[in-house]
Amino acid sequence: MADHVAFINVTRQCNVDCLRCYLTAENRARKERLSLRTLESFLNHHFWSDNQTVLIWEGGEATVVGQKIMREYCERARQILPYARQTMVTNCFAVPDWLPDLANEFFGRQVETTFALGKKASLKGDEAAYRLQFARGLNKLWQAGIRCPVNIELNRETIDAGVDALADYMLSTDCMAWEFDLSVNFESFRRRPEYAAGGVPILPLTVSYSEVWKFLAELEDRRGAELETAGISIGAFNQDPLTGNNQFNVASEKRFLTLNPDGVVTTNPLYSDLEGTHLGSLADETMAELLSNPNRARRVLAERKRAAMCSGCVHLDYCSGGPSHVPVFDGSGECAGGAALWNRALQRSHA
Amino acid sequence: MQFLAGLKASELNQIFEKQANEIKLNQAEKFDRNVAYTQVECDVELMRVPLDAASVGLAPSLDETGEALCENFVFSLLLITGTLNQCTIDVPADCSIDPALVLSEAEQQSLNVRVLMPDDTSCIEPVRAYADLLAKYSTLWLRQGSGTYSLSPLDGYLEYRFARALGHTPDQITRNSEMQALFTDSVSDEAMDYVKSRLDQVIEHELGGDEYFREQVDLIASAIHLKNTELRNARLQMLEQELDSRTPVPNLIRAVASLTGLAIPDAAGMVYEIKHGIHTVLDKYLPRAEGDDIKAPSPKQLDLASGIGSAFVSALGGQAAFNAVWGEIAKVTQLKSSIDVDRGVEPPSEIAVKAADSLGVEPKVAALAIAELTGMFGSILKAGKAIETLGIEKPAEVKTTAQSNIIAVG
Repeated sequence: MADHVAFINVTRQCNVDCLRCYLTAENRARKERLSLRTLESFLNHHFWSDNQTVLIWEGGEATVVGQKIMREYCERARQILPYARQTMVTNCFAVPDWLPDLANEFFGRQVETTFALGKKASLKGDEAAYRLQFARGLNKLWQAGIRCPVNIELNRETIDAGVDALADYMLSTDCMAWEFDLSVNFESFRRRPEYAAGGVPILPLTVSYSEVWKFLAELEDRRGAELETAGISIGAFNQDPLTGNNQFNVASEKRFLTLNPDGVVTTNPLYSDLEGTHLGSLADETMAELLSNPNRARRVLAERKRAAMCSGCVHLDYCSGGPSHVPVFDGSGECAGGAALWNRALQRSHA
Repeated sequence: MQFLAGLKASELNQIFEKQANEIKLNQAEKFDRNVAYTQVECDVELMRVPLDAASVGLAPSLDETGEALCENFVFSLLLITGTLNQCTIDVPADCSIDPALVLSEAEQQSLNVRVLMPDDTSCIEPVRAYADLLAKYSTLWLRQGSGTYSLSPLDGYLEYRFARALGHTPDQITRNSEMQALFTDSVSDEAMDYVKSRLDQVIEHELGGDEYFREQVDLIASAIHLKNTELRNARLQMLEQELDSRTPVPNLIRAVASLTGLAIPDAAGMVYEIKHGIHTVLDKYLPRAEGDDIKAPSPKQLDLASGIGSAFVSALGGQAAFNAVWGEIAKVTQLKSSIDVDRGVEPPSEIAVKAADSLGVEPKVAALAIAELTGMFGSILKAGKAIETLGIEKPAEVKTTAQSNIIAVG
């Protein structure tokens, strides 16, 4: 069974400005903090204790709550779910000195981060300063022995910057693990929110699937060997039909739950600020009530129907349809699962 | 436990509404979860689970295409699993849905499947049809080997067969009251025997006969034995490591253990208590005076050590002669080279090899035990200033490890 994953937004406050962030600008500026009581209500349920569970501390930027509070969260979570694996998603913009220690103690020496070559900036709106600070923070973690894979959001700006700009940036840091995510335009969604039945958000992409997979294929063909020689591993290039989809949130609606600092719970962390997806709040409902919210069941069904669109695809068994928060097809001739990449993986395995 | 079979999802929704209204009227009202709702038919989406439900079993149904499971059924399963731990897929005895479809859903949701007995087990035909249906499910389940869900009553019967392979024939196939109510209580012996024989056929075909169960039991027993041995060896190794890292005379303790037959922790305790006893006696008769540094040895005890040292020096004809004798002792007992002996750079001396035979320990342990004993005596001489050093490097500081309360010498 795949892990059950708890995404815990300890705050939505952030020290980086991402134009297309899935959190609203208003929430990113608020100095809210998750209470221990809410955390306890969230974790004290058999949904977690009966399953192999991963707890992912997130924000905004989780580290802005400070060492003392963050440590309290981790300790309390360990008391409640001693066998759950814990990790954190940080934006690496201002890695505090205590984070490596905390990662050593609670996160199995591993955290994660996200990155893009555009539309990510410091709070003053400086993209170059962001990239510099990000690299510093990322290097700080790797140099401290903390593995911090980077999820690159393949947004319009990153793709337009070109394969070489990205490869050069990757080679300029100490990071040895890079992954790729599809890019959703939450800014555009928020201007005109659209939901299907069950509160399934219809999310617009910033780049077509064909451009995304073409970009990755080019990256692999032109710079893949160089990156590999430098010791950099890229999950998307190492997909194996025998082991299934190693990408992030495939078939996730049933096993993901995200907690906001105010007690609001939804499924996918990208839905944190999408009100139409919310299952309710722990402020006035129990976990059992939230879990039995009909919209959750409807979204699981919708996810299955989404995957049914892939019937007939030779890659379905191991691909599972790609990230479940985006449509399978976008009309570009490619799909969310990346059939082109899987074709290459199959060719590799046959060779 | 009360059993309510064959209700519809719409009826369960109504039951919940009624119970919720009762609570609204009387806040003190509480419902015990003591009702097992079985074979619930999903005529609509099950939106709320009755507050008295201990378990809910949903009967599968097909959608209008006849090729997929009905959405009401799948939705209801998804919804209940968020509320109740005890949720199953209940396959009625006359169910004609493709078992592969049902088991696939069970696997996806990790939900146990129960193939339920027909209402009437007094006639041959329904029992035969049931046994055939159960055989189909059992064959598929045994071939999958996914392990994320169970199939009843096959699971109980497999348990029974394993018990028999262990030489114990249980008087009942299951002791679970819900399983008894659903599968054994109201079933005639003849019907039960027929179903069991049909299951035996499937098991024989898919797994094998009694021999298979005996082999599996042997394998499990061997695995447990192996695990126990590994754990015991790991524990012993840990104990040895602790002995070396946490006690100043580990080999002396090993030698005492071998001599006395005591376990290592007891031998360590014995050595510790002897040492502690000597210090207690010394502290009683040669205590520190008021104002003496409590961290330093008692001046009176140091005087005693000095006296003993002086006596040896005088007896041997002066400091130079004493030094020569002590040097020889340190050499013969390998005190000075104990680190090299420990590392295997220098072999144990002839004396140590002979002592090892007598003590029943490895020569290296004997050599180091002799060195440790000599070192203890040497520290008295050193305290009395008869010698300047023991001739060995200062041992590395004992690492602070978590207190295990097993060994506490020194």
